[in-house]
Amino acid sequence: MTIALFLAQILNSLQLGLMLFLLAAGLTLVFGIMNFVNLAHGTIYMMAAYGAALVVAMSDHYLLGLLAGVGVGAMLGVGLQYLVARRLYGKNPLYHVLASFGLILMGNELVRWVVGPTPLYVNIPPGFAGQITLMGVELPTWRGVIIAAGLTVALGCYGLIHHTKFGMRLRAAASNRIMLAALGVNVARLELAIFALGGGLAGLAAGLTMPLVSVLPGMGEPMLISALIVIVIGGIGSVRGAFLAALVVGMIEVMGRAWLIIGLQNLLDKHVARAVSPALSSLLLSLVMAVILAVRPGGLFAAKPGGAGHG
Amino acid sequence: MTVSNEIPPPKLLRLENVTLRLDQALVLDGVSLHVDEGEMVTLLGRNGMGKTSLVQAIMGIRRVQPSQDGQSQIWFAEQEITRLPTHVIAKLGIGLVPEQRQIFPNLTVRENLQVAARVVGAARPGRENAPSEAASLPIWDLARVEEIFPILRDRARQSAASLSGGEQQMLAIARALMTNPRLLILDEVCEGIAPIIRQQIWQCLTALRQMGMALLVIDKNIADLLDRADRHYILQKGQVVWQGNSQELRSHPEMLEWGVAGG
Repeated sequence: MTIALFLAQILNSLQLGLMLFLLAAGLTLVFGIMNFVNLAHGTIYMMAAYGAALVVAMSDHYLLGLLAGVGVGAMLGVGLQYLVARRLYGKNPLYHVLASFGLILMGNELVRWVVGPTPLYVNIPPGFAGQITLMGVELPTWRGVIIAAGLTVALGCYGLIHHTKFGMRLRAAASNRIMLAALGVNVARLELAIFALGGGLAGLAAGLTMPLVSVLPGMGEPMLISALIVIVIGGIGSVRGAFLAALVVGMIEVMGRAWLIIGLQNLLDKHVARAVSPALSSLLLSLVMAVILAVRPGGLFAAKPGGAGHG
Repeated sequence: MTVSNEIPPPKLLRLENVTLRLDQALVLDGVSLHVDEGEMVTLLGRNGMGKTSLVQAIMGIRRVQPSQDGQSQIWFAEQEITRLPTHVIAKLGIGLVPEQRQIFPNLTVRENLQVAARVVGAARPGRENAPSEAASLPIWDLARVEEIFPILRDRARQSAASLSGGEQQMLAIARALMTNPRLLILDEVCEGIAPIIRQQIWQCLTALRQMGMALLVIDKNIADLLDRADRHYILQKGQVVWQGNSQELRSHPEMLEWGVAGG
């Protein structure tokens, strides 16, 4: 593998990792604070992508579509919390899984019924279709935009969570939401804001990746699985953990696949190597997750539950 | 200090027939008690008698059910709070120092205090004032709580999880004070605390009492409480089996046993 190819893979890893972070940030907060197992997060991503793609198709303005994606994501997050999640808090997690899995099926069928099974495609906005040179490596401009936007949002999330009262309350709620309510904080409103934030970030991820992928029913599920791995590795409830874990997962998925193809081509037929490397890459990801969990069962940055201290 | 019998002070907290069942078990069985303005009242009883459940019922963390003798009712500052959400009850002016401290370990010491801070002063339309302000009590802010517990200022940037048990207890009390309560409920604040820290905490609570703050103290350390509290309730199997002042409690040694034995 040449240095240029290696650097290109690093940048691709960064781009995938940042997109996973946008999805995982909301998911980890919902899991960590409300103990709600939200499998429908990928469906929010998909429906936001549809919302964004349809607005772009109607208006021919990408930015308008992106904003619509964020709005649809945030509204779906709020709707999910108000109509489904809040009725299931404190109940058996199996109910959460069943309810949100039902929403996945409903979401997929709904878009198939309303928009149809044919994928939607959105062009890269004019002016961003070329290549840029980053660290001596040719990179599609749009991927550079995604990296820049992802880093900006990650930085914004860090500021929001670590330097505002809202963020302070989020972190406190991740540790002990009942105690936070006993201090006079309206935790229900905070939860609504978390679902809106999570949905909005998923919508942003959908809007940014939309020009690179086909918008089609079921597009959220693969992203959901990767995002779930991210939050488990990062530590449920930790946005910082989600950020680092997203970069690790992005790196393993992209680099693992690239290295495995090269490595396996020396041992197997070229076509066989290409066919098995994605599966082996996923296996590698699961292996890394298992090792991290064996060493740190709560993930890299698990939110500490409230309680007695030492001594 | 004894309360004058001629002009009874207003009842700040009043519980009538409070009944609570958890998984079919009767945890609280028609508990009635009250705490007056500026009074220190204790709730005594062995482990598992329902003391913490009563605190959770007052705070709306657990929902009470109707008793055989009628509705369970909880009143605070002449307002019924039985069905109110926890955060609204806290905003009305009840501060909680919970069992096991329950500080936020993933926040710094300073953040633990700031997360609870209630807006004080400068009354403006639509702006909520601290409950203690309405009750003419001192206003608690960061500077004031750190003056009472200087160790919290020294460790402001440290993770709250890194504090010792005694320091965490001070943080839990300071955090509750930052909500500017009219009534402070303290659930087993001296459990597992070194004697020297315990004395500091009792001194602090005595000072709060002298400032006019009402206190409901749940503790097993009856020797310390007899000299400080105005009245006592003893809870046994979810029922109030005795109530009276410190002098009366001293003259009932068998009740002292109910209050602390096995604790």
